[in-house]
This record gives sequence, structure tokens and C-alpha cells, in this order.
Amino acid sequence: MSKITLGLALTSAIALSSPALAAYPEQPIQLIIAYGAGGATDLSGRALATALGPKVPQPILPVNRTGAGGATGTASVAAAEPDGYTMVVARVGSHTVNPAMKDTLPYTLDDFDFVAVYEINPVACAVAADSDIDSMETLAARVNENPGTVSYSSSGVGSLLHIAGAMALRSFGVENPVEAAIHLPMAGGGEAATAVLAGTADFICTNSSALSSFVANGQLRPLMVTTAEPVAGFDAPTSADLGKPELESLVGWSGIAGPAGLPDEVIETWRGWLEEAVQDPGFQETMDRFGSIVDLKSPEDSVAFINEQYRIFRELVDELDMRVE
Amino acid sequence: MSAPRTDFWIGVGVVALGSALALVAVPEGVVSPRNVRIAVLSPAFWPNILAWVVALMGLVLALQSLRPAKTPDEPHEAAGAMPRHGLLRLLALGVGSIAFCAFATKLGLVWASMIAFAVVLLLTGTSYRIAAVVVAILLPLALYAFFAHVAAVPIPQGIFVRLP
Amino acid sequence: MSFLDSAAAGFALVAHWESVFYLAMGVLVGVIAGAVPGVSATMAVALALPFTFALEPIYGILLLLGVYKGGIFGGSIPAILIKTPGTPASSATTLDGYPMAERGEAGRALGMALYASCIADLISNLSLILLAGWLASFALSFGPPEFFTLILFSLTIIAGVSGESLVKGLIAAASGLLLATVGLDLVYGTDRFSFGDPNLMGGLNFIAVLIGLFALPEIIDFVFRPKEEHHQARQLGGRWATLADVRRCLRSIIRGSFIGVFLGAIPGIGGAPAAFLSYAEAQRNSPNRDNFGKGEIEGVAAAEAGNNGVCGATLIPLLSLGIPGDVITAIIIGAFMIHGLQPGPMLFVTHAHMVYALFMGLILSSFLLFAIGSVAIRAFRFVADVPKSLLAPSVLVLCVFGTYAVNNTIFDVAVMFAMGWLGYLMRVLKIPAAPFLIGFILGPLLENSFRQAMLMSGGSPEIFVRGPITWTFWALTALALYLIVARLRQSWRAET
Repeated sequence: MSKITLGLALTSAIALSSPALAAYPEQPIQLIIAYGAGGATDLSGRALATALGPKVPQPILPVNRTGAGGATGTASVAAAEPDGYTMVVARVGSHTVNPAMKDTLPYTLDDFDFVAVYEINPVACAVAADSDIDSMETLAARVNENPGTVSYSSSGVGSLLHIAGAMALRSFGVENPVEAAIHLPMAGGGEAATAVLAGTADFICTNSSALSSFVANGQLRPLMVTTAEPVAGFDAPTSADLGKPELESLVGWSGIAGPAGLPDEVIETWRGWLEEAVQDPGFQETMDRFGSIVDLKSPEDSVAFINEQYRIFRELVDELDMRVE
Repeated sequence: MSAPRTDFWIGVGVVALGSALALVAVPEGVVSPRNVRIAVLSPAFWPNILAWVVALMGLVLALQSLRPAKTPDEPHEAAGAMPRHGLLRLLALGVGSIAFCAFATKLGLVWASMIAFAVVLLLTGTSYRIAAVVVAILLPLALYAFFAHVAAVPIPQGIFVRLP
Repeated sequence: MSFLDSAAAGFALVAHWESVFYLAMGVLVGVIAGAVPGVSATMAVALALPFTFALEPIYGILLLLGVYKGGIFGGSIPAILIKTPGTPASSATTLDGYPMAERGEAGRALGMALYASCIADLISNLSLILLAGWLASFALSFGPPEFFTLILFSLTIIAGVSGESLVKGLIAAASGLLLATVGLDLVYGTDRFSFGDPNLMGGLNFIAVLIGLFALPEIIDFVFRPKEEHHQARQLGGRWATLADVRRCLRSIIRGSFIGVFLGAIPGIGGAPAAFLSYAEAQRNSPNRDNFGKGEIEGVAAAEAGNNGVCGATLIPLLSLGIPGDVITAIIIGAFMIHGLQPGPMLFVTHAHMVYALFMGLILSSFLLFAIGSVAIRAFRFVADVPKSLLAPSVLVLCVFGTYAVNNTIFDVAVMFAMGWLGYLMRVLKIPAAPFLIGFILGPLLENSFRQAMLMSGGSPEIFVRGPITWTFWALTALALYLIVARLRQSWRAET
């Protein structure tokens, strides 16, 4: 046992002899990703961490802490020390859809300080290539004529896909999409797209990045994108073209947040890093390939954007009685 | 205790467990929304069935053990003898594992692992004392180096001593 | 471009020392990562991904595929040596691999694992190349009802791994299925047994349950009964798997490979069920049926053939449809996209040379796996010679680090300990652990596909007999049940 004590003493001596750094960051920073490896959030967060690598004096370690549609990882950040060493890739699902839908969520938006939103993903609605549904209007009409037969797939309750399907149908005149259309939750985003491909579900509304390869391969046909501008590779009208500009609030996004009470110094430092990272050509190229738009919003704009999206989703959830108690 | 007797009591225990799950844990632990239109889709449907299957199988096991067994004498396992202080050591290990989970992040996973290693060694004894001490110190450090620096996993450092 | 042109262009693309180098690196990294419990093949692939950003697309993807294959094989090393499956897919390997190691035949078990893995890998790659189009359309016809009947059929393997008492096996399986329901409800998003705890909402982590259930009871038992060290010489034994061994197991290896190919082509199942199904089928057909679970080399062969058979086949839906078969291929799709390649039917038109280059690289990988695997086995075999009093606490520390690393939370470590005590209790009561694990793995697949099918049909059960695939699986399930009952009656008669 005495050797163990000796070992302890030795190693502590080594650790203490390293020069102390006063400024943030003086140790590696954990960047929690509340969704699984290979998903949109994961790729975005890892691309960001890679871009930040040479610019940050300490390593940024992306950590996947998955479960409960992003709630497990997000809640763990909400409960962490606001010292700037535990940050989270905030995402549309975990930070607006989930809080809007679930009363039982172990966190609220107030538990976070947002550094910035840095990326926007357009949302697209699509059907299988051999489907006879050729437009959003046809789709809505089909739902109204035969309630309970048309289904849409999602990556689970409280995901962007879940609310997007309902919101799109509603703005095209389906009075109660929760009753009239079938919501088919799958175990993940990839499975949700596969379900449409295989004919298990009739349509899907999700981030354009999740659909782009299927669209390019002619396996899925897009019906609509929800941005003001057309999305490259998607031969489909925008929601503005279709006279539904209100659907523009239906976009995916990623941002950086930390537990509420972050010191100003931390937020400022992160802002600086993000400003540099979004200039990084490698980062831009990666985001581009995934069909994301790099768009670093100011702190005020970010918070306003998130709150506005939350408010719109919350209203929809209340009207349609989609609340999960 | 002969094997059929043990099985009888296992069966009784499993029936109790299954019924407790079905009657207490499922109603308490599973939240069912009010607007479930199709009964088989209720969140509680599946856990309920499984809990009853557990209870039913426990009953079958208990009844089976009452069947007059003409099994040729069960191979007598010498393991039946209770080792000295065996239960005491198990108790120590149990307390140890709880303590580990409670304090490992505060203390630092590396240091806690060294202590855990030492505790297991003290419980079991060893004839390789020097090797044991070396492994107890080096293994957690090597694992730390691998996970923190190769696999980029932030291993909790604790509040006392930080490793590079 | 004709087939020959594409093939020639593909060959030109792959015939560089770099492709062999990166593939070999990938396999090596994979084997090492797979051999560390907790670092699953998935995690290894995710970690390797950023390194491929800077590489040529073909090298990057070959590197990742190498990691994947190496990882799945590497998992069998600790499964055999310390009863700790390195990746979930190798849990079936522990059933016979560890008893063999206990008997002093670790070298033979490891050698057989390697032979079976490489043969299965080769068969899987060839199936990918020859049958991709056909299997892909088959995979697409698997909706939730077909999935449900397939998983239901897979549950019949419980009978094969229950050991002496089928009833106890069923108790274990039902408990495993029940434990898998912890977490948020799929359809309604409500809490199930999570009592508001965010950690429980995500459900119990698979790897924590796996390691706890298999590795810890061994350690707890050793603490309870520490003296056995001196009675039991746990040596390697100089014996290596012989060609005669391989020939004897060849039927099981080939059967297992095709089971792996079949299940791998269907998105969403993964290696662990394939390994168990292959194991159960081997047992059903083996003359040494009763020796399974007690150190039967054919069991090791079947399990490893099943899980490596999946590897090549998961690329079938990836390449031909652009859909990921499991988490690992989801990451590999990410790598394709980072390099501006979009997997799917168009890839065969726009980047045919790339596809052929991949095919050639894959064939090569089977042989590299064999070469690197043989070296790795020799390097790791010394573990079998470590005295148990040192091995037990070392495995404990290894499990703690590995389990922590999966999700970076101490909660998973607590789950692992809890499962360890549960596993120990089950061991004392002679309740088998394998059915519990199978229930835990298949539970969510079974329940989710059942409920998705009911959502699709609006509650009508007719959907479960909607086509020839469902009928086939119902028939297979009935046949399996008939065989189980027939065997039970036989053994009853023998008793009375």
C-alpha cells in the first residue's frame, strides 16, 4: 500500500509542477452531443470541434451522450457546473421541439446560456419516387379525404420530424393532423427516411441534409422546402412560393450553449472561436456538403430566434393537443 | 437443499416478483396518456404482458419442481460448501461498488480504480504481491492515457489531483 | 463505361500501396479497439472518422471498413479470454469461448474465432458483390410487420441457450425483455420506469448491461471463492485450432455466414442477433448438441461466423440504397458524404470505378484480417496466463473504464455494477444469463415493430400476415416451436 501512496505523491507532484494557466480555458472542454454518432448533430459538432482544434489552446472533446431523444445528454449539461468546461451542441430537437412538447422534460430553456446559433438546416418534405402524391396540396387533400390512412415517419416523439409533419399538413389545410394522419415513430432519422423509401410511411418532413442523397439518387421526390430561397439539389417549390411563408420558422439549427450562469468571459471567448471557425474553409465545405447553411447569429439574435421558434411550436402543440404529460 | 426444493422457492420468488411488477411497478412507473385509441398501443400494454409472463413462468417452475423427480441423482457439486467469510467478502464488495459509484467522479476515476483494485486484492489475497502493486498503479494510468489521449474520452479527474 | 472498364479503373484506384496500408491500419486499430471492452466497433469507427477527412475518399473509406471488420473480430478476444465481450456482437462467443479458455484451450478457441471470422467475412463480401441488387430489394420489403415476425422467430433461439431448464430460460428472457422497456415510450413519449430521472429516460445502456451481466459475476464469484486459483491452471495450452477443427465446423461456419449476410442486409438488426441465431442453429444441427455452452468449439465458430457475416452485408443497403444498416454504417455514410459521394443506386453509375475499387479492397480486407488477427491473437494470448488473483481486479478496472467511456457517465458504471450483482444472483440460482441478454437486445426491436405495425394498420392484426415474408416466418416459428416441444417430450420420456 505504501507504494500506492508513493505513486500518488509522485504523480501529484508532476501534475502540480505544470504551470498554472489563469485564463479560460485551462483544461480540456467537453462538448456534449446529445444525439448518436453519425447523425446531423454529431457531424456538425465534430466538424466544429475539428475546425476549432488549431484555434483553441485546449482540446475540445466531443462526447456523445445519447438517449431519450436528446434529453439525457441535454439534461446532464443543464445540471453541470457553469464553468465553461461542459458545453452542449444545442439543436432544434433538444432545445425547441422537445421543451415545447414535453412537460416532463428534466430541463427548460432557462437552464441554458446560449453562445450562438451557427448553422441552419432547411427542412424539406418528400415522398417516395413512385408515389402518386405530386404536391403538398395533393398530400393535404389525400389526408382530408381518407383520414387515418396517410402516415409520416419521424425519429421519435418530440423530434423535429414529428412536429414538422404536423405543421406542414396543418398549414395546407388539414384541420387536425394529429387525428387525420398517422405519426409513425422510428428509432432514428435514418430509419425514418428508410420507412418512406420502403413504402412503410407515405411522407417525411426533415432536414434537407438527411434527404439529399435520396433525392439525388431519384429514390425520394421532394414536395417542398421551407426556406425563402430554393435549396440546391431540391427540385421543389419553397414554402414562400406555395404561399405559406409561416413555414419558414420550421428549420433545423445547431448552436452552442452551456449551463445557465456561464461567466461572460466564457461566452466572449466562445464567440471569438466561433467567428474564426465559421471562416474556416474546411468547416464551410463540410457543412456545405451536408446541405447546411453556415450562419453565425449574434447572441441576441440567437436567443430571439430560439425563443420565437419555441413560441411557434408551443402554440401549435397547444392547438393540436400534442402535449406529452 | 436439493435442487427441486431450491427451484420451488425460486419459482415462488419469481411469482412474487412478476406480480409485484404487474400490480405495483407498471401502474406506478409507466405513464399512459389519456388519449390512447388502440388498447394494444398503450405504453403499459407490453410491460404488463411481460410481467405476467414472468409470474406465470415462476408458477410453472414451482409446479415443475413438485413433480416427483426421478432424475438420476443430480451430479453433486462440490461447490456447495460455503467458503470461509465468503458472504462477508461479498458484502464488502457490494458496499465497495456502491461507494465507488458515489465517489469515483469526485476522487478521479484513476485514483478510485487504484483503490478498487487494492480492495479486491485485499479481499481475495494473492501470492504475487509485487506484481499486484505494479499492476494496481500502472493499469489505471495506462487506461487513462489510452482513453484520454488516444480515444479522446474525458476521464473524470476529480477535485484533488489532475493528470496531464 | 462497360463493366470491364469500370473494373479496370477500380483496380487502378485501389492498386496502390496506400490502399493496402490504410486498410491494414484500419484492421489493426479495429482489432485493438475491439479487444478493449467498452470500446465497441461503433466507437472505434466514430473515432477514426475525423482522420479520413484529409485522405483520398477510397483510402478513407477503406480505413473505416478496416476498423469495422477488425473491431468485430477483436471483440472476440476478450470474450474468450476474460468473458467480457469487447463489442456487443461477440457476446455469443463468450458462451463457449470462455469455458474453453477455462479448460486451457484459449489458443484453440481464438484460432477458431479467427478462421470463422475470416471465412464469414469473405463469404459476406462475395455476397455483397454478387447479390447486392437482389438482397437490397429484399431488404426494402421488410416493413414493421415483417420485422416483427422475424424477431419473433429469433426469440425461439432462447430454447437453445437456456441450458438445463427451459422454464428458467424463459424467466430470464421475459425479464430481459421487461428491462428493455425502461426509458421513454416510442409512440407516446411518456416515461416508463424512469421516474423522472434523465439517465433512466434514455433506457439502460446496452454495453453496461452486457459487461455487467457477463464479466462481473465471474469477478464476484472469485471474491466469494478466491482459493480456486491454485487448483485451476488456466494456461493457453499449446494447441491451436487445426484444419480438422475447421473442417468439422465448416458447415456451421457457412450456415452462420449466410445467416449473417441475410440479417446484415436487413437494416436495423446488427451483429449480436445474427451471432446468437447462428449459434442456435449450429446447436440445433450439431451431434454435440449437449456440449454447447460447456466449451464446444463449434459454438465459437458459429457465433463468430454469424457476427462477421454481417460486416460485408451491411454495405448492401448502404451501397445500393443509401440507407444505413446499423450505427456503424451510418457513420460510414457520413464519410461518403464528406467526400462528396452519395451512396445509393446512382453511385454505381456516377462512380462505378469507386464501387469496384471498394469491392476489391473488401476482398483484400478478409486476408488482411487473417494476417493481422493471427498476430493479434499471439500478442493477446498472454492474458490467459495471468494469475486469476491479478486478472480479476484488472478486468474490473478495465470494465469500469470501458463502460464509463461509452456515454461518459458514471451512471452507466452503476448500471454495470447492478447488472453484475443481478448476474451473480442468476448464476447462483442457475438461471442462464444468455436468454436475458437476448431478450434485452431483441426487446425493443420486437415491441417497436409490433407497435409500428399496429399504427400502420389502425389496430388490425391482419397486417401481421400481409405477405409471403410474414407467412414464411410464422411457419419457421411454428416449426421451431414444434422441434422444441418434441425435444422436451423426448427428454421427459427419458426421465420417467
